[in-house]
Amino acid sequence: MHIHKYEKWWLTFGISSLVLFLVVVGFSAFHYGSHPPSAKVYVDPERVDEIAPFNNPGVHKVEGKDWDYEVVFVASAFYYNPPEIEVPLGSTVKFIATTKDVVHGFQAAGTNINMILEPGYVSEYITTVDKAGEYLILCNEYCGVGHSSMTSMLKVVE
Amino acid sequence: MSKKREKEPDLKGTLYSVGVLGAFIIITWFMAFYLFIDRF
Repeated sequence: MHIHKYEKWWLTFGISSLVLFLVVVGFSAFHYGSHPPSAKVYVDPERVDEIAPFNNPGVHKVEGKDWDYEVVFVASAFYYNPPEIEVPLGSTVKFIATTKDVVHGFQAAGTNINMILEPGYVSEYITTVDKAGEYLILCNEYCGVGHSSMTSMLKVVE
Repeated sequence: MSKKREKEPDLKGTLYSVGVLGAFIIITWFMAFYLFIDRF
């Protein structure tokens, strides 16, 4: 089979890019342990309000864990509980969220915090908040007529 | 039976155009990746 010289260059370039991208993804997955935020944690969507930690939404300081704060969110049509949270700059925060009714989104605009919340499942994301500011938390999965007004606010304060 | 050897086509323009496309893909990929790394 004859392959043109330039075609060989292009094939080499294409395959190397593919390998490079896969190495980056593989490194972040296997070395840093990054994974999709939907952990294999389940909750009865009918009884979310009674089950810990969702019976007490908000910011909780924790000791002896890899993170400093646990932030518990319960989403339902069409609001987040709590409607506003404040965490100190530089702290490591674990976001724990679920929904009581339909599928909702949980995205803090301008950050990598971006999860889907499915009824019956608990979504978690751990991050170190290293930039002060106010970040709008919004629903990015269409959930009904009030979807566009479904927001909360993450405040990272010094 | 003599078979005339075919002349190689000139693919320089093709190489440049796919090179530009490849560079665009690589650059935008790293821009998005930088955004991901930079944000919390």
